[in-house]
Amino acid sequence: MRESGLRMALTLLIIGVICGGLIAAVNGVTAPVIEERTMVQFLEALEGFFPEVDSYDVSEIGNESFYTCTDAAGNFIGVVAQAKADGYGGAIFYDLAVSDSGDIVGIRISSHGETPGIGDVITKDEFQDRVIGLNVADSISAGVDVDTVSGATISSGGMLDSIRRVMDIIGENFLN
Amino acid sequence: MSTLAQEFSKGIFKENPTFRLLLGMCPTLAITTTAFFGFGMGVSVLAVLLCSNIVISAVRNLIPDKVRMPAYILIIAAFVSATDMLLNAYVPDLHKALGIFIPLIVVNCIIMGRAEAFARKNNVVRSILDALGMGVGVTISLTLVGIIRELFGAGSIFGFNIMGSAYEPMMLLASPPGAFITLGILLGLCNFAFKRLGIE
Repeated sequence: MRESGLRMALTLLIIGVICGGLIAAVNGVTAPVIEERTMVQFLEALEGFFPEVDSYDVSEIGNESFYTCTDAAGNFIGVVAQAKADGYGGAIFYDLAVSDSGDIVGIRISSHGETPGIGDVITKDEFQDRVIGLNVADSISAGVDVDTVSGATISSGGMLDSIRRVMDIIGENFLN
Repeated sequence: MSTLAQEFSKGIFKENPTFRLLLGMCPTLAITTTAFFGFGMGVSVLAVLLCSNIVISAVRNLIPDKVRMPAYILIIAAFVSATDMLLNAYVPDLHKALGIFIPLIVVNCIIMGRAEAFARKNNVVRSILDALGMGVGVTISLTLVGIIRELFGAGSIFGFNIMGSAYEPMMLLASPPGAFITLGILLGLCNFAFKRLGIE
């Protein structure tokens, strides 16, 4: 087989184009499906947090979305934030539900890259139970007011720092 | 020329990628915190290895020797990306469980190793059998390491509590040093067994 530079470059080019085309084609089919499912899952979670929710308004603060929920009578019942925390394995995306009285009523991790069996404790009750019930007026300093999970200090501490920040935003903008 | 049955079985025993060839040590150490994760990673490797072995052996005469490595990487990465997206769209539960392991398969040297050592020199049928054998070998090995680490690190196997509530889990085995210790002991046992059986 003759191995000229041109032939090598062309071979790689062709393989690259075919592979790129394959990925683009698959992405074109799967991206809408994934996006739709992500939204459905979020709305299901939102209804789980506030079963009496009737309608919601979306507002963007920074890069995060805040869904203001109202019941059928038009009363404000709480806020669900789509927020981001810094974990051990990159960004953690999560939903945080805060009631009209400023209590955390629910938390859901939507995607994360934490170490399985260690940092992924943030998706479990062991960590989430420490967060639920905290009030916007509480101090949520990681390791001081709320214990981090041993072995998963960075994952759980990152979550607590982010929750503190999101609670401040919610307290300032949505609760009076 | 070895028989087709040998082509399949060599990946499970004689040339087990994890315990005999010592390939793909990074995922072996990193993800085997539980039996299920070891199993999930093994099956993902099996699927990608099968696809990449088929394609690479089919186009083996078309790719110039000097650029075969980048060509293989492109093919493997394309399969892994496509698998990742398809799983996310249509089997979200499995995708959620496997999570970060799927993109990691690109850099799993078992796949590159089989492309380089086998698929580029053999026909499609033999490459399929090779991929199946190696894939099953990896799955068994990773699940075994996962079972041991989960049993002593968390007191359960595949999530079922085995040790009872009085058992104090050894956090060491769930952490990275535990992976090295477990793998080291298993490799030692494996070498001992193979020596006794007279297989080198």
